[in-house]
Parts: sequence; C-alpha cells; structure tokens
Amino acid sequence: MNTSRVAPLLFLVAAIEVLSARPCAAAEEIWEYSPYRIEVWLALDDHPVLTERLESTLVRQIKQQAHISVGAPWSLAITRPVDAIRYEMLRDMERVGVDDIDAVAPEILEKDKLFLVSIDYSTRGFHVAVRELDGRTRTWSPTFASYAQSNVLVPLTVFDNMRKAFRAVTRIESSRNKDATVRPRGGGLVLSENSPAYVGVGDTLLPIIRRNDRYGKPLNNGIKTAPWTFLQATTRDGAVLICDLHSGMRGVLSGRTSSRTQKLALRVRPVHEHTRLICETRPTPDEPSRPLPGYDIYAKDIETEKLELIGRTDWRGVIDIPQLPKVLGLIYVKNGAQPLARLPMVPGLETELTAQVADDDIRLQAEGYISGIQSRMLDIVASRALVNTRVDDRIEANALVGAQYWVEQFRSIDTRTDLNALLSQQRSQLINRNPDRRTATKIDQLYGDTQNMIAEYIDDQMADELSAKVKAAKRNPRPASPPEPEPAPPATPTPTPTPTEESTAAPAA
Amino acid sequence: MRQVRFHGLNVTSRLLVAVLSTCALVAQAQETPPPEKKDAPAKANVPLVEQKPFDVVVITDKPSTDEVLIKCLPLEMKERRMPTKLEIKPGSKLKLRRFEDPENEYEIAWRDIVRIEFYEDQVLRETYDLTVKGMREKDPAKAARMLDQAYAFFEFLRDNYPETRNLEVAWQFYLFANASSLYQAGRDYEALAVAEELHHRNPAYQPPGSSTTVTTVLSAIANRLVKKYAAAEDYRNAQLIIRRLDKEYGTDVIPSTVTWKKHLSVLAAAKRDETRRLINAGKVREAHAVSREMANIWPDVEGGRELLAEVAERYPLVVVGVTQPALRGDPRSLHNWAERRVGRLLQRSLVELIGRGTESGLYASPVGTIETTIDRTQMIIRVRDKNAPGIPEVSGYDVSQILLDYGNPASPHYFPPWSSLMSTVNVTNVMQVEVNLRRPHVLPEALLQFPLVSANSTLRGPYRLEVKEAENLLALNDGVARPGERRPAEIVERVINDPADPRAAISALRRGTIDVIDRVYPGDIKSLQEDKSIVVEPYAFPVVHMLIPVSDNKFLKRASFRRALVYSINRQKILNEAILRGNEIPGCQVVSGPFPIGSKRNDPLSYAYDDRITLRPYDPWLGAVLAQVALTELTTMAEMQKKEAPEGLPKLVIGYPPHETTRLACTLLTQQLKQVGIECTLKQLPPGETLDLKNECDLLYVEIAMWEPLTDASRLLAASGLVPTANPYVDQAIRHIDTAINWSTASQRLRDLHRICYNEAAVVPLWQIADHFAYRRELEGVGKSPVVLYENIFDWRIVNSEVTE
Repeated sequence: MNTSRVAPLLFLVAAIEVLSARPCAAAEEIWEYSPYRIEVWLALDDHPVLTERLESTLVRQIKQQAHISVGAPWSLAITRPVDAIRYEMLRDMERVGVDDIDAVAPEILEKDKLFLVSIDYSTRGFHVAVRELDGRTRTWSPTFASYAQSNVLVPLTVFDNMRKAFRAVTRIESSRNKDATVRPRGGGLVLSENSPAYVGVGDTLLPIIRRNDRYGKPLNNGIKTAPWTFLQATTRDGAVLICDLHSGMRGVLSGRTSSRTQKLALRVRPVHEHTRLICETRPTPDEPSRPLPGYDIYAKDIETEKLELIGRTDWRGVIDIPQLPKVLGLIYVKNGAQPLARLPMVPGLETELTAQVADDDIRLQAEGYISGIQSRMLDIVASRALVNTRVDDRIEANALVGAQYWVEQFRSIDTRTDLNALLSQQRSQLINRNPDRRTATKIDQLYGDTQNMIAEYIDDQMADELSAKVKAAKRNPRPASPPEPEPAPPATPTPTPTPTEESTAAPAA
Repeated sequence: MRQVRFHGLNVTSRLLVAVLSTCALVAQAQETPPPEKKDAPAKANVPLVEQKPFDVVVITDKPSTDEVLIKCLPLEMKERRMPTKLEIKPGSKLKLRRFEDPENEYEIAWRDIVRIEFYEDQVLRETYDLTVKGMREKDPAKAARMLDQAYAFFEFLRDNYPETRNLEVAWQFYLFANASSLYQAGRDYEALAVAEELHHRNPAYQPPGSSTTVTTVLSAIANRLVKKYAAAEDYRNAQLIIRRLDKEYGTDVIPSTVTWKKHLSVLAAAKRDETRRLINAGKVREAHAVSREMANIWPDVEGGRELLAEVAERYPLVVVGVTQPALRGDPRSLHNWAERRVGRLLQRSLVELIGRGTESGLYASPVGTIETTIDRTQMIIRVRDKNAPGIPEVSGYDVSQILLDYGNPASPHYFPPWSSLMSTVNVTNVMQVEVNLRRPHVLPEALLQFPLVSANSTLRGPYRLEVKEAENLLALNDGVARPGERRPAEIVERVINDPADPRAAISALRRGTIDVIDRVYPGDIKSLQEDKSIVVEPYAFPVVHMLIPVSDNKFLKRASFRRALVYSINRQKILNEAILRGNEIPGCQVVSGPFPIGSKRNDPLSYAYDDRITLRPYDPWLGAVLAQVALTELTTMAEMQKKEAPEGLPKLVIGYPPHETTRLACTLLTQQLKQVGIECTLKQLPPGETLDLKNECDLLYVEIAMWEPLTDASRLLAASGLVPTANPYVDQAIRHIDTAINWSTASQRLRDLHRICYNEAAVVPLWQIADHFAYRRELEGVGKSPVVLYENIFDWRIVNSEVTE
C-alpha cells in the first residue's frame, strides 16, 4: 500500500470522527454551559415623563440587575422594537404574535428568549408590562403587569416582572411510560436556587414537542404542547433531573428523538387564581359537543394520594379550579361513582381549559335506578328476616294463630318477581334512549349483577316454607301449650306516648 | 164480670143438668172477683214506665164504704177519663180484665166505681213526685239523676200518651225545677237553656206556691254568667249574652241585663274618655288600642261608635297574631313562613305567584304583562307607564338589567336556572323587553320572581318593617296611601307563642285584642270554624314538613340510616293525634317525598307527586335494623381507611322553629327515635329563624313552601339548595327537569325525582299541612284562599266593632 495515499485518508477519517463527535459534546456544552440568549424589546410610551434618559437608565439598570440577580445564565440584549411592534406592545401586549415577530425580526426567534417590556405612564404611576416568548417552543408566557410609583422603582419593577415571566427550559433526554430525564438549559451556570434559570426537584415542567424541517425551522403546526401532560422533577442525577411523567393521554412522549424532533419542557408555575375547566362531550359526526353539567371534579394530591372534592360543573359544564398547594395535581372528572377522566393539571397556569369526556348520563341514570333497587332490596331482606323470626318465635310458643298472621304479613312484602319486574321496566326506559354500545354494555352489566343479587338474597319460596312450618306445627302441637294469644299487631317496642298536656311542654334544648 | 140469673124450670132434667152444669162452669169463669182490699197499683221500686201498663179501678166494697182497688189491663175507652154522672147510663157496666187474670172478662156496674186511675195519670203523678224530690235534693249528683229520670218519664208520656191530662203543666214545672237545679249546681249555660225553653212555653210561668217567675230565674242565671265573664274581662262573651237576651225577650225585660249594661257602659265610658285624651295628645296609635278596649267592653256607650269610626278613619290599624316574628321580608322564601308573609309588603317582584292555575301556579307581574310565544322560546314583557301606589315605577331598561343581573355568573344574584335558559335580552322600546330563550320552557315566568330594582336601588314595597321586641310593626310608606282610603296604615304583628297556653291566640282573637291569626293550629281549625263571629280560611297552597340533614354527620350521609329515621317515626299517629287532634282537615296528610300531594283528587298542584309510591310504614324494628346496618357500613369503611370507627349509633341534634306544631312534632318523634336507639336532643331556633345559622344541628325541621315544584325542586334539592345532599342522582334528575319542554315530560321527570328522593331518603318526609288563617268578621277584604296573608292588603277594612253571634 502506498503510505502517502493512506495517511491523508487516515487523517481524513480521524478528522471526520472528531468532527462528528464534537457536535454532541459540544451541543451539550452549549446547552448546559452557555447562557440564555435573551433579547429584550423595550417600548416606552410617548409621555414627557418617559424620557430617553430614563430609557437609557432603564437599560443600564436592568442589565445591572440581571447581572447581580441572575448572573451568568442570562445574556441580555436590550433594544427598541420596531414601531409596529412597539405600538402593539403599548396598546395590548397580548396582541403581539409570533408571526408578527417573525415578520419583522425572524432572527430573534433563534434566540432563547424574547422579553416584551412596555412602560406607560398614568395617574396611577408607571405601568410596567412584561411578556416572555420562548424561542424554541414559540410559546408565550402570561403578561405580568404592575405599577411603579416612581421612576426609581421602574427598573426593579421591570426586572421583577421579567423574573416572573421567565420560564426555564429543559430538554427531555429520554422518556418512558412513567418517567423522563431532563437537562436544564444553562444548568451548569446556575449557582443559586433563587435564580430564575434554576430548575430543581419539585418543579413542574410542561412538555412541548417541536418538529423541524430540514432547515431547522418548525413545521407548520409542528410545535405542540403535550395535552394534559406534566413532568415533575423528583431527583437530581448530576446535571440531569429525573422526573415523574403525569399524563392523561397515552404515549405522549413516546417516539424516537431525532435531529428534527426536539422534546422540550418549560418550568411552569400558576399565575392566575384559578383555571376555568369546561367539561363537554366529545363531538361526533351527528352531534357537536355539549356541555356536561353536574359532573363532580376532584383533585388528588400526587404524593399523599388524598382526594378532595372541588365541586360540580354548572349548567355550562364549567367549574373554576383554584391553585393547588403543590402546584401539580390530578384532576378527576366523575359522574356518580364512575371516574371518566384523569387529568394532570396545574390550576392557575391557564385561564381556561376544555376537557372532552364521554357522555355518561344514561349510565348514571342506570346507576341511580340500581341504587334505588338495592335500597329496596335491603329493606325487603330485613323485613323478611324480622317476620321470619316472629313466625319462629310464635311457633315456639305454640301461638299458631299469631304465627299464621305473620305468614300473611310475609306474603305482603315485595317478592323477587316484583323487584325483577321493576328492574326490567327501568331497564327498558334506559334502552329506549339509545345508549352507545359501551354504555349499553355497562348498563347490562349493572342490571345483570343486580338480578343475581336479587336471586341470591330473595327466595320466593320462603313464604310457602313458612306456611308449611306453621301447618306442621298445627299437626304436631306442642304438649301443655299455654293459651293461644291473640294475633300480634305490628310490633312496637313500647307504646308510643299519646300527647298529653305534659308532653306538649317545651323540652330542654 | 157478669151476674147470671136462672129463668124458669120447664126443661128436661138432662137438659137441666146440662144447663146447670154449663151455667156452673160459666159461673166459675165469670163470677165477681173476690174483693181485694188493696190491689197495689205498682210494684215497689220499679218505675211505672218499666212495668206493663195497667189501670186501677177503684170501687166501694159494699155494704162498707171501703175502697177496693182493682188492677186491670188498660181499659178500652174512647176517652181515657172517668165519665161524668150524666154520661153514665143507668145499669151500664164497665168491662175489664184483671191484670192477673187477663183471660176472663169481668163487669162492674158504673155506679159502684168511685174513680179510675189511668196508667198515664199514674205515671204523671210519679214523674211529678220525682221532679219535686229532685228539686229539693241537696246533693247535685242525686238531683241530676232524679231529674234525668223524670225527663225520661216525660219523654215516655209524650211519645205514648201525648193526651195525658196536665202533661204540659207538669212539664213546665219540670223545666222550672230543672233550671233551678242546674243553677244550684253551677251549670249556668244549661240552666239558661232550660229556663229559656220554659219562657218560650209560658213567659209568665210561676210555680204553684212560689213567688219566683221564670223571668226571675232567667235574670239570675244571666247575671251570674255575665258576672263571670266580666270578672275574667271577657267582655265579648258578656256582651253576647246581654245582646242575645235583649234580642230574644225585648230590651230591658231581663232585669240583670239592665244592670249589667249600665255597669259596662260605665267601664266603656272610661275607655272612651281615655281614647279622646290620647287623640287630643296626638297619640293615635295608643288611642287605637284603648278604643279597641272600649269596643270590647261596650261599644254602644254614648259616643262610642262615632269614636271608633273616627279612630279607624284617622289611623286604620290591624293587629295580627303570629307564631313567628319576621326579621326580614322575602316573598320567595322556601322555608320561612314569616318572611314570606311580609315579603310582598316590603318589596315587589317582577313576577309574583298569585294563585292556582289549571296546571301549575298562576303568575302575574305587578308592573305589566308577560307573554310567552306559542313555542315558548321567547317572552315579551310590557311594562305599564303608571302603576298603582305601592308598586314601583320601572322601565324596560330596569327590567332588562334585572334579567341580565340574575343571569350573570359573576353577579352575587346569579341564578343558574335562569342563566341557563336566557339567551338574549333586547329592550325594544322604553316599556318593552324581549327575551329569547335557549330552549322551550314550560313555565319561564316562574323563574322571574326577582325583586324589582331600578337603576338606582332596590325599590321598596308599600310597607316598611320595624322590628321591635314584643311585636313588629309594618308601617305604610309615604306616598302610598290615597286620601279617603281605609287600608291599614299600620299592621302590628304580635307574637303569640306561649307553650303554656297554646290557645292564647284564639282567646285574643275572640276578645278582640287581635284581628287576625296568621296561622291557626291545625287541631283548632274545626272548633274555630264553629264560631260564627270568626272567619276561618285556608291558604291557597299547603306546606310540606320534613326533616333535612344539615350537618356532616357520617350517619346522615348513609341512605340506610336516613331510611331508618323514616321507618322509626310514626308519622300518621303524630299527625292525626297530636297535630290534627283527631280532626280531618283536607290537605293534611302524610307524604312520601318532598313534594305536595295536593288537597283533593287530581289536584293540579300534585303534578310532581308520584302517588304510586307507597308510604314507608311505621316499623320501628326495621328502623332499628337499618340503623345497625348503617353502623356496620361505617365501621367497615373506617377499617378499610384505617380510621377510627364509630362507637355506636349517633346522638343527633334536631333544630326546629319555635311554634306549637313543630314543638309538639319534634318532641314526639324524638321519643320515637329513642326507642330504636337513636338519641336526639332538641334545639329550638331563635324566634324568626328557620335555619341553623350556628351549625349546631344535625337535622332541621323545615316547613317548605314547595308551591311550584318545577322551579322550587332545585331550590331545595340541588347542590346549591337548602339540602346539601350532594347526591349525583338527585342532581341529574333536577337537570333533566330543567330541560323538559312540555308539561307531560316535566311532570314525569319530577315524579322520577320524587322516586329518587324516596329511594335515597334524601329528606325525611313528614306531612303536608294545609294552613289556615282566621280573622274577625269586622275585617273585610281579606279575600278567599290567598297565597300569603297580606295578598289583598289594600282591600282590608275594619267595618264595625259590634259583637255579633
């Protein structure tokens, strides 16, 4: 072999190896040890108080504050937005969309974060509003707004709102059914748990999946928040965090991670007092969604597993769920005893959420009917047992007339046939409402189980058996029997006192 | 008896023997009966009326003049009397049959008969003697027995021998004797009745040998009666007696009435003068009270009636006896009778329940009209530009604001049933509002019973409430009264609720110190209806009584335990014996659920009541078993959850509003629950309250005005209602009712709800009561079967204060 030709080849191979290996490690290094590249667009209103000098002071002091409070994890660049954006920011921060930014400064979306900061002045003082856009997930934070009473406090107010709006980013390294591993952005630079960039044990993360084209741009509708899914960091393993995966859907984070698919997770905290949950039916080709009023909503503590009733949906299918003590909880939607949905949720994160669940009305109605039958059955079984005892007692005492009386009373109690007839009638009423197959199956099961219970506990032959017992006792009377008492009236433990003047006196409270 | 004579001897011997024999036989049968010196007319100690009737013929035993009494069967004579000498034909004979020998007939010559004591005369004499003895008897009980017996004898004579001589005379004597005896015994009313009967028969009656006349007796009895009433200050009854006697016998005929009229006039005059002083001092309200006292004593005092009219004119006032004070007004209160009572006086509503319709309640708006389109998806409300005094002026805008406010989830007045129904509200002009509904509703106007508010504030009703210690005052607001109208300027609500004197309200009504009883105790309704001076009327709608669970007690959350409560209370017995006191009042009956059953068959009000559901019978054994079942269920659950299990059956606290019906019912049902091992203590709520505001009770006795089940069911049973059952089946059933688009469906769904409530024992149903109110006849304009007492308040007028029977 010609070594002069091999050496360059070897070098080439080695170079390729080095070059191909470097991006992984390099990428991790960038992710973990480089700061958030943050662009801040600062828009001041046209007001004499909001001078250029104030603006420059603001820029300086915000940077100073970031340097002091956050340090290395943040790399801030503060600029003025273009006029069109500035105008919208000052009018209504929430009208500024990702597309608006993409149209005027697409490169900004390559950064980690964009803060929109607007300041205007009124009689109430300096109104500061801040909103954060995450570059990778293209998602907005809520707007955080407050007032500063003097210009000295404005920078602090701005920075404070920036801290609140900032959502730390993590990358989902791996995920299985019930857990996932995440690596925080800039985690290697965070020195304090107070840093806004800090992600630690106990934090709640919202998974977002981004699918890119070959140019690295997100596909149309390529960025999706995993519905009803959250991660909760439980342990730290070096630079990564092990998280529990809580999801109301199956396989949300499954699938291979490729260079075009990024699985990210933002640290989230509730910002509103409550989230309005709307429960409605799943739409079908024949019927649009309908609200589901009267469904019970429970919140379960993930750690203690304690279940607490929040309330019931109103006629619109709506219920407001307040913030939970531990931020993330499991929200159960139940109809009667039947759970219909299990939804991990951070109440207060969103203003409103919609949950589509199956219409369970007919099944609940069936459950109600069955509950009534079961109550009735209990009363019947108890009554029969009481009467049976009375018959036996009277046979024992040779009071056969009384025994016969109670046998007749026994016959007047509802029988198995009566209950089955009622069961059948109620079942027909439900079937006439044309339930879907799944509900019909559930109803059949409910009614089948009840019928079995009736057959087990209520024996229609018992009356005849009692009658036969009495007849047998008549044929073989006991010797030296005492005089036969009169048939006993319906038993009362002691006579109920007839009201007298004394009994109408006011009792002691 | 007949005497046989032989006539001649020219006959054969055989024939002679035969004749002689025959004659001898005849003689044996028909000879004059042996004289009996004393044929005692009666057996000793057995009254004549109980013996077989007989007459006694008295003859002389010749040749002596001794009398011989012959007891015989009643003589067959045309006129039952001794004929005169002129009527007796010479030689005629009286035929008789002896009492001991009725087979044979005897003859006695009339000339030998001294007299005949006919049976009825004997009876009359015996009766008379008995009457005299009874009159003279000192022992009232013995005297009564004798006179009662004499009465029976008189009855006998009247029925069988109405023509008995001197019967009427004897009877009058009897009446006199009886009246005297009753008077001696202190039975004045009976004595009066008897004396009056005597007076009717013989106004001038005077018993022989006595100077006392029947008028004297009447006067004495009346005097004592009136004196008794006057001493008790029951002047109404005193007046009744005086006036009646005057009317019956003529003014001033009975001496004691004259005396008493003078006396009462003096008393009334003092009140009259005091009334005048108070009027002059400007204290018209006090003058009103004193003038009532004057009217109560003797309104015919000089100038009395004019003064009464003047006071009523200047300050018409009505006093209402109530069992509970109203602390506030709420015409729509489901559970507070007093708040409902005054609610409509204090505020008017956009729509009000005014009575019963053919399918449901009847509704109207005091400020205009409400129409619903045929498909029931739109309502048109037209407001009047001018309303009667006491009814607020509102515009279409005001109405629209009310409707939107109650439909707004963010509003404190948020009313979900209306919010779920209302789609849009359009003010088409100043006086008209159109409301579009999301779906058809069978009775949308029933949902609009919202207080009328204007843009500025809640508009007041015709009256304002002043809560005071002993009594509440409802005073007419300024600008409401029209000159010349006599509607009450003030309504005084006096709480009369003394457990020691349950009939105090009735006494006050009869005395005239109150004009109306708001709620008559059910057991007193029948007796009060017999008083002609008082009108007793039922309200339009009944009230359903029940126990509702109000605490978090674990046992009360078990359906088995709640059913145990139902089985353990003898509802029928408590209702019949304690509350109704054995009377039957239409509309009062035990119920199986929270809905009214109505007052009669096919009552439209009962559209929610499933009458196929049988009442749970009183079965304390079953109740005890079910209570133990509940205990077992809870013990098992506690073990599974590793919590502390209950030690036994719970001790419950039952709260109740303090008035006679609830007090009695709760006392009795507590005793019954104790028998099955469920210990209960009673807690009386503060006056005027019907809810357990301090959360001290487990069960609450409530009286629910479920007058429109279609809309009231959710107010009671929904999750936000009065009964916090949090039962998903009940909730679902209520939602189904809201979406019913016709009456048939609505009724069916309500009955389904009834069945669910029955199965789950969501409440412990007790009974339905058809409440009644009572008022003096002097009060006019109250109306028949109002929804609430003051429904027709603007028609109320006091007409006069004369005591009538």
